[in-house]
Formats: sequence, structure tokens, C-alpha cells
Amino acid sequence: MSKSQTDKANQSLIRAVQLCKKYNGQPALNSLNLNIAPGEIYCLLGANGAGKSTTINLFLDFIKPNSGHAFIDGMDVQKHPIETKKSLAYIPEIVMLYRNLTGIENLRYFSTLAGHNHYTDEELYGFLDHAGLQNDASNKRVGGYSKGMRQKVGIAIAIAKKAKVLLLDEPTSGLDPKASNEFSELLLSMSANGVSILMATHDLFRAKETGTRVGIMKHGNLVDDLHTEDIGHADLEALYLKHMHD
Amino acid sequence: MIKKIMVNEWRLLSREWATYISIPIYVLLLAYGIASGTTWKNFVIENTLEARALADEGIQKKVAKLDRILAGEPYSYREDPRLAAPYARWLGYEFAIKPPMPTAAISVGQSDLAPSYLKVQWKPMHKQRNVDEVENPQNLAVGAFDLAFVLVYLFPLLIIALSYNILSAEREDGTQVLLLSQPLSVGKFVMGKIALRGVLIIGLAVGISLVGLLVANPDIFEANSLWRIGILAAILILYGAFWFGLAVAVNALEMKSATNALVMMACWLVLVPITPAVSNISAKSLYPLPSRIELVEAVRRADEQAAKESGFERAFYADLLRKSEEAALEASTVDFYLKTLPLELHAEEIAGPVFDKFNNQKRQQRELAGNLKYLSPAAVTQIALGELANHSALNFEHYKAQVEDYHKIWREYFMKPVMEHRNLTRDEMVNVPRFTYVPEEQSVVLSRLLKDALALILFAAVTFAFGFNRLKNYSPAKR
Repeated sequence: MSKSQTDKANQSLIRAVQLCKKYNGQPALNSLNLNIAPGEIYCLLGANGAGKSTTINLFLDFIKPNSGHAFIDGMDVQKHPIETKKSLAYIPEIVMLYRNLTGIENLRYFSTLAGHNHYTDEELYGFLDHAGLQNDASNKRVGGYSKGMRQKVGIAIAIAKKAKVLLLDEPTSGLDPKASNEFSELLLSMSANGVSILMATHDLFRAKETGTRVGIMKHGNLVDDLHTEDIGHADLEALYLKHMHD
Repeated sequence: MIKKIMVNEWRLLSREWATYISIPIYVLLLAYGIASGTTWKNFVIENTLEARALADEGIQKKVAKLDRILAGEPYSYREDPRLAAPYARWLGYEFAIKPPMPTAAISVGQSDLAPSYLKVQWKPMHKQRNVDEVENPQNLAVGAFDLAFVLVYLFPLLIIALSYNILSAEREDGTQVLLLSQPLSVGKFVMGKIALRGVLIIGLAVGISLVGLLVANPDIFEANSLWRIGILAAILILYGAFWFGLAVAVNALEMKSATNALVMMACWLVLVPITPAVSNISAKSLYPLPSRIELVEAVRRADEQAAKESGFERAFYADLLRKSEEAALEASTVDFYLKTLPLELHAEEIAGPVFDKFNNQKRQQRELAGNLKYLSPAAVTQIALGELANHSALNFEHYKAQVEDYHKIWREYFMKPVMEHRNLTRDEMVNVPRFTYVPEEQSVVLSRLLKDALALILFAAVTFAFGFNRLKNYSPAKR
């Protein structure tokens, strides 16, 4: 590794080094090397079972790697599972909340767990509003929320956490196009504030529009890694399909 | 952090309708258990006081009769209360009373097998008719609905109901991934959930039991029994901790909620009703008691042997007695008892080894069952609650030994005038030895309770250690 590469790696908020994961002997992720710098939005593309969620779960320390290391903000997630979670926020594909609590109560609880028990009600309503949840819904029990509304509370939880790293597993699934677009804008504004974002997605359009880089995964391998500014919509789709058909 | 999780858990529980059904029922059951135990205790107090009064009255009546005789009232030989042998054998009696402890309401115990008073006369205690309270046999078969029943049987059920899915529900509801993406270990999260439920369920059990017992039984304050209440609290906390530890261990196995519920109910079945029953059956099988018929036969053979050895001819004296002449009666009776009482003692000596064997087997059964209780925290708790109420098997054995000692004193007291061919004096009639129950030394009971508490600590520690150790490798990604 050259000096500039080493410096870049050291600056990365999200970093994978030779990261491998097998399930029952079957490789799910092969020697992943990844560096995502502050402010970068890295979109992981790939078919189901390509290893996108496995990668995110490894950064969350939800699963243990067979070999290699995952780093968040310079800390090995296996060695510092609690510390690294202070630096990251996560939005799963389907945000599930406590159905007997209201949107605001869910946000307050998760923010408290994240160490932000100082937020006023006004601030909490502000986060929900920022995430696009209608004001009148904030005080209703989540049991009556649609998937998209829950997703917005999940986004509010991530915003309120003020994390340096954002891990997203198909976060726009279930959001309408307008909300999806607002979400993209939100990601861009977070990125502008220096947040590193790793997003697993099937949405090539959103990846090209929002992402600074895209990675294409296949059978647990990162088969391509490129900057979105270097490729057009049609070329990205063609490249993706080419990898899928190989 | 744990406090924050507890606050949120309380908020969640307070919005579940099931909470508003299960908790009030639980509180009512605890209150009913205390009320039922207290009613039983008061009933026993009443009965024992009546029995004691009856024995007092018997002595006073005989002294009064003697005073009337001494004052010149005509009387037949049979009516003379000074006759030592008839006094010892059937005219006189003592009720050896085991008064209930102020804490007796904790556990009614087996009132049919361990009565609170025994009648003492000349005849051996094993031949004495059980004069215990008349109780509906159905009640005895079903068992008492006392505080011990609520705490040993029902208290774990509520713990199971509220904690079988502490972690599995989070996984199944999908909230787990968002939770565990926060700077929070799964162990700490589970600890917070368990702590809230522990404070709620154990807190209610301890609070209601202590306050209820003290309000319904204020004599606990007066009788230096507060230490028993303190230990009751400790036992409840430890027993509850074991069930919560089991909930953590089962949840750490990463099974579905329905499977967790099944596993925990199976544990309840095995540990609460089955293991204590199997322990008792094992003790009975390993140390079987000789049959009652064998005992009766042994006594009969001993009687025959004693009669034969003494050359005593019952038939002759029986015949003599039938003549019913006052003078003959007096002469024969004195002679009869002079020979009969030692003869009975000799027969008991001959039958002694059979009884020794019987008692030895019974002791070994008790000892084995006592050791096997450590297989089940429920058995340990049940016995500890019995100790606190002074209704355990060992408490009863201690009382029975005192009654046996007193029985010897009774016999010796009346044997002396019989052997000296004389009647009882007035002083002897007034000063007939009385039975006074002496409870076991506090240190002895405490040492047994300490062992029980240590066993419960071990049970709880093992389950918690297993559970939290497994949670270190818990995988939130598993679905």
C-alpha cells in the first residue's frame, strides 16, 4: 500500500480489511477491502444474497467475521463493539418500533439509549419533521403507522444520533418517490456535514443520484468499485447487468 | 442505562392490557394466601387453647373430686381419682401443645400428618389416636391455599408469563436490530428488562407478603419473630431471581418465543411438582418402612412373649375382675397394675428393635429427601417457608421428640405410686407434670435456613451465569 493509500485508509470512517464471512462453510463475503472517507456515500449494489447485508451486519458487529477486520472511525468493531456503535447509526430495510409507543416516544427512547437524553420535546419533534413525518402522526401509537412512516421514524432516530457513520440496508424500501427523494436529499446534507454513508440498495437510479461511489457485489465478492461521477445512469445499469449475467 | 431501559419497559408494560389483569390477580392471590394462612393460624391457636383448657379442667376436676372425698363425700373404689394407674392410663391426660408461631400464617403445613397437639397418656405414643383438628379430607388432599402455595407454585408462573420472551419478542418484532445498533450490550439490555420485571413481581411478592403478614399477625412484632420475616424476604428474592435467571438462560438459547414458553413451563413442571414428588418416592423406595401389619404383629408377639416370661395369667385376673366385689376389685386392681404396667414396658422393650428399625428407616427417608430437595429450588423454598412458619418436618420431629420425652416423664410419675402400692397424694395430683413446648434454638433453624439460602443463591447464580455468558455470543442478525 502506498503512502497516499495508507493515509486515505487511516482517514476512512468505514474500513474493511480482508473481511471474510462464511455461513456453514459457504462463503458469504470474500476478502472485502473497503475504505469510505468522511462525506462519502458508498452504495453497495448486488442481487439478493450477494453479501450486502452481511457486510453491514459485520460493521454492526451483529455477526462475527471468519477472518479480517471491520473498522468504524478507526476502531475494530469486534474489539470495541459498544464504542463503535456510538459513532454509527443504522436504518434497516424494515424499521420496526415499539407499537404501543408513539413516534415521539420511540424516538426519545432510542435517542436516550444512544446517549442523547438531553433532547427537548421541541428538538425531538424537529427531528421527526426533518425526517418527513407529519406532525399529527408523532403523537400517535406506532402500531397504526404505515411502513413508510416507521421508516421515517427510523430516519429521525438516525438523525438524532448525530453519528459519524450511517449504515443503511435498503432504507428507501417502502418509501414513496417523494419521500425517497427527500431521503436522498437528507443523505446529501449529512454527507456535506462529513458523515460517511454505506448503503446497500437495489435502486441503481438512487445510487447514481445520491452516491459518491458505488460497489457491485456478486457471490460475496466486490467485483467493481467506481465513482458515480465517472459513469452515467445507462452505463451503470449496463455494468450492473453485465456482472449479474457473467 | 439500565434505569432508562427499566423506565421504557414500564411504559411498555403499562400499555399492555394483560398487565391490568395479571398483576391484580397476583396481588389478590397473595392477599388471599395471607388471609387463608392467618385464618388457619387463628383456628389452630383456638384449638390448642381449648385443648390446654380441657387438660387443665381434667386435672382441676380430679383434685376437686378428691377434696370432696376428703371432706367426707361417699365414693366407690372406681371413683377414687387417686388411683395412679387408672389416672395414668385413661382418667388423666395431657394435651402436648405445639402453639403456632406468630409467623405460622406463611405456611399451613401438613396439618393431618403434623398435628399441633397430641394427647399424652400411659399408652405408647404410636398407639395414641390422632386427636388433631377435624378437617375436610378433600381440603387435605388438595392442599392448603396459603402464602407458601402462592409463592412456591404461582409466583414462578407470573415470572414465566412476563419474561419468557424478553429477548425473543424483540427479535420476532424486529425491534432488536435498531436497539442493538445503539451503544448497548445485549446483556445490559436484558438486565434492564429483567430488573424492571424483578422489581415489579418480586417487589410485589415481598412487599405484600411482609406488609400483609405484619398487619394480619401483629404478634410477629412482639415475639422476636421479625428475623423470620427478613429471611422470608431474602428467600423470595432468591427464588424469584432463580426464575428470572432461567428466563435469561432460555432466551439466550435464541429460540422462538413459543419454544421458550414451552421450555420454561416444562422446567416449572419438572422443578415445582415433579422433582419434589420423585425425591419423596425415591426416599421411600430406598428406605422402605416395614408394613403397619408387621408392626402390629411385632407388638402382639412382644406382648405374648412378655406375658409368657412373667408368668402373668391374664385370664385369671380378668375373671377376678368380673366378680366386681369391691374388696376383690381393689386387691386385684392394685395387683393387676403392679404386674401389668412393668409387663407393658417389657413388651415395648421386646418390640423396640422393630420400632427402632421403623424409626431408623423413617429418619433415613427424611434425610435423603432433605438432601434431594437441593435438586429443586421449589423444594428448597417450600421447606424454607415451612421452617419460617415452624411447620417443617424437622420442626415437627423436634416437637415429637419433646412429646416422647414428656411421655416418659408421665409414665415415671405414675409408675412410682403404683410400684409403692399406694395412691397419689393430693400434692401429686395438683402437680401432675405438664408439657411445655420449647421451640428449636434460633441458631439451629437459622443454620438450616442459611443452607437453603445458599442453595438458592447457587441456583440463581448458575442460571444467570449461563444466560449472560451465552448472551456474549448472541447474534442479533439471527432471525
